[in-house]
Amino acid sequence: MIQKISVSLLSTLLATFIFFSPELKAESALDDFSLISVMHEGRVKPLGTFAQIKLNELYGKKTISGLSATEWLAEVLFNPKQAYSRKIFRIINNDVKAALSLKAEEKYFTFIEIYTAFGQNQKLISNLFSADPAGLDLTSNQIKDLYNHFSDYMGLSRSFSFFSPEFKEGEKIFSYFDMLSQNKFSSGARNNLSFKKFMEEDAQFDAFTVIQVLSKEDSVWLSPWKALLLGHEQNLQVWERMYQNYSGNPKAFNSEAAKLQQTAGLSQFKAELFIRKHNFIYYALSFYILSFLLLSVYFLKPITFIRSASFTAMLTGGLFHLTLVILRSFILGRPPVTNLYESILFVGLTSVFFASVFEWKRKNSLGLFIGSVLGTVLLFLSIGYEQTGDNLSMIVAVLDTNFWLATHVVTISIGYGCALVASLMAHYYLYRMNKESTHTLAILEKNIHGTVLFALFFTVLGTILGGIWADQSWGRFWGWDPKENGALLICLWLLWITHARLQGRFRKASFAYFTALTSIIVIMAWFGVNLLNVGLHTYGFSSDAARGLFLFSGAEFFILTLLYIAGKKKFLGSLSIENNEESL
Amino acid sequence: MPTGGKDMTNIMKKLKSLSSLNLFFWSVLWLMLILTVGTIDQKNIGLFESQEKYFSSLFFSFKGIPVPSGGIVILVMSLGLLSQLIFKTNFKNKRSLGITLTHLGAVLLLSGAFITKFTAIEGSMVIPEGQTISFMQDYKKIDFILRDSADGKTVLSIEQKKILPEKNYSFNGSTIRFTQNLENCELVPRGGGDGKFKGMAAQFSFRKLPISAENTACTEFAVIEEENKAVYGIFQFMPKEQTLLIGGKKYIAELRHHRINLPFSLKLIDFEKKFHQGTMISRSFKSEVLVIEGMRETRHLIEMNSPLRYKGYTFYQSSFSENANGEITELSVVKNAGQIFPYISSIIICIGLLVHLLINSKKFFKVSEL
Repeated sequence: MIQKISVSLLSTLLATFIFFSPELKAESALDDFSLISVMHEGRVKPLGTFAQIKLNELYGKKTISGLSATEWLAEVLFNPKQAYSRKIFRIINNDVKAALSLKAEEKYFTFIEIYTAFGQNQKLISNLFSADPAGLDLTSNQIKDLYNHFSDYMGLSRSFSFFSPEFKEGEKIFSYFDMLSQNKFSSGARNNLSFKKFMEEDAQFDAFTVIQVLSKEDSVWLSPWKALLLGHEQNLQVWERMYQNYSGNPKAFNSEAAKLQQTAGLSQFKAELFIRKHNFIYYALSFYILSFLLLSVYFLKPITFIRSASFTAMLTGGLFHLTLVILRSFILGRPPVTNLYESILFVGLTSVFFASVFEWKRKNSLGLFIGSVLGTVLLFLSIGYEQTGDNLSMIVAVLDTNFWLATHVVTISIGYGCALVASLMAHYYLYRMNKESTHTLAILEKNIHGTVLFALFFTVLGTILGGIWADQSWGRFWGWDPKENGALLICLWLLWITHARLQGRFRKASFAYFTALTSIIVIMAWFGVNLLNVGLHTYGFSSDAARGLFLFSGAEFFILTLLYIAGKKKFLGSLSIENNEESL
Repeated sequence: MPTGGKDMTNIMKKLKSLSSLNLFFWSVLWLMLILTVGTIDQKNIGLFESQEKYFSSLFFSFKGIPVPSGGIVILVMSLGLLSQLIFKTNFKNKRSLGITLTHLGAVLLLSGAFITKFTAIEGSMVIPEGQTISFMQDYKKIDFILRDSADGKTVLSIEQKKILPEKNYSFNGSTIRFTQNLENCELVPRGGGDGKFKGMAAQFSFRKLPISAENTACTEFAVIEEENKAVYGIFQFMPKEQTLLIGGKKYIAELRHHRINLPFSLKLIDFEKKFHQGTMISRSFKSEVLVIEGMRETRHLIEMNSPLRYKGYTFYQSSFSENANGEITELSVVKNAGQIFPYISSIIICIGLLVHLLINSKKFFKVSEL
């Protein structure tokens, strides 16, 4: 027993090591640069993350012709002329290309090409931006998006234009920054005043807020240009040296970049870049799928080794899954669940955890079945809900309390997980109804009942804690709000089936049937309620999600009812045969 | 006396029968059904109406047939639970200790709910920066108010829902009668009136709308002394006050949320809102207020998740708005004697469920033999 456990643990560790070993030594040339803080979408994040988000917006990929996102961003910031000739703007829709007279056979375009295209179609653009947004078709919206991306990119590339040596005074060439810091504006640069004005137009771009200025009670993040115009030149001196060393002296560039890193939060930044580099969800998902495949083999050929291998795969997947949840929580400094996406990750983890404990105790592959199925399904679902761009987002003020997030949200998520585990166990019961002995089924039924009680405990506790939070924040314990009603529905459903079992109304197969249906209740309360909140105007993703939800519920109900009826018939049939045999 | 005894046993029997699991089974099933229907219907009729219709009331009408709603189901379930605790609990049985505790906690939770339902006062307080307000507004109740324009004193105040169409309402020796009274309406331009309509009513009439999440109440009334020659119309949130001249005196008519006076007043010193930089995601809302009670003045800060509790009232930061004169904070106000119940009952319920799980864990997770 202990041997087997240590074997699975060791292989789990080995698999993890193999995954990360190439990363442990490799160090990118711009590591220090990627750890500088940027304020973006309300959150202070590492520059590396910002670069990835921007590159993904424009180019749709994580790297561009061998350059990492960070290297690409450095080029845009410090050597825009070179960056301008890179094919960076991705356009898929041929109508967009036609409207802007771009070559239809190309998929990616350079800044210069787009610049020229927009220059030739100024009227089209101004018409699009003055038109009523509701009446625009897909192509028009995509042209608008392209234009926004284009100006965003332009803003990025002009972030440090004040370092660029463009002022001539006799023999000498000055940058705007030199002029300002050496008070040159009074004399020779006077004739360049119109150029000065032109330059200062770059300050209107606010794409890259990277300079933190501390005031009495708050800190403000400014773009380099804004910082300069507001008189914070001293905050730009390191950037100037980086600008100068970018092309010729990478070592000096890096050591300057290191000076800009803030010690507070540096490990969170490293962790964030780490999870961005490795797609933990896919790793975990692959191992869950592997575990399920091995389990299928085990069902056909019951060799203990295959079961152990399947268990190892599930634990390895679980380890990736756990690491992701812990690291996300560490990066944001919050409990693990703050939004729908994270709740899917967390419920998945909870299910796999309970399934693993179950497998550990029972060793009959039921835990493997539950864990690998729920892990796979929920992680697939989480990919659907993953936001494009930054999925580590900020939360609104009312949710901004770690105590209640940690207690209420985590408890109710564990409740969802337990309920799903119970439901899947019941699925298994219905499926194996005629293949297992009455004795095994009786034990299984008791296990299901126990898991239902666990689920009841966590959902009731979570719901009441939610009420207490509401009482603390809004003054009402209960407001019949859709989310509250959803949670109450799960509690009532679980109460209903446990009491019906007690009464003898639901027993064995019928108890399993109703417990199996819990999955529909959980999914409806968890996701259905969110659809309701979106309101009447649900398009695209939401209506797709609604369709998926109803399809799932319908299919689940149909399959379970079929299993139940078929099982019940065969079961009764087999009982009468057994009785006949006995009488013989 | 024998009949009395028989009656008693009959009552006891009936009370006992309330604890039947059958009753529980059907009650919960029904509750789940109306919970689902009521939640989905919130999309159409809004949270408050749906709460009133499906959950708080005793009956609601489904295609004309009265069916029991949440209120009655919860009442029946509570009585059943009580009866179960009284008649069927075996306090000596250690195995059912957890269940008994859980049921006890549930009874407490439900009693708290009833106390809250019948005693709690809740509403909102809307205070512009720099102003002092000493009343809260009911969320739902709308009042019809007639004020003397000279001294601002209310001469007539009727709850809109209680207005009777055929009744005369008198004040200061004058009388009015309501000709139209709608909970939700829209304005329709009145093409060429016959001259009896005065003020806003000369230009617009009201068209009835079904009750929705956001309603605009309106009434139309005639002044009897003017021999039905003066008919006025007012609606909620009128941009301009409707003044009327009756017997040479000027009055102001309005429809507004019912006001509940507080034993103290609140002055908004400053409201502050913050967003996460570069986004519209709220970071914090704060209201700095002065509580004024007689000569005593105390400063408090009300924030999201950090309400002000004062003399049994609790003030929560709920919303805000802005106009040309500055920021306006919106606080929700609650006075609830049943507030403590969920806290105690949740602890008892959780201990109960845990005890039950622990005592019976071997039974639930038995590995080999039965």
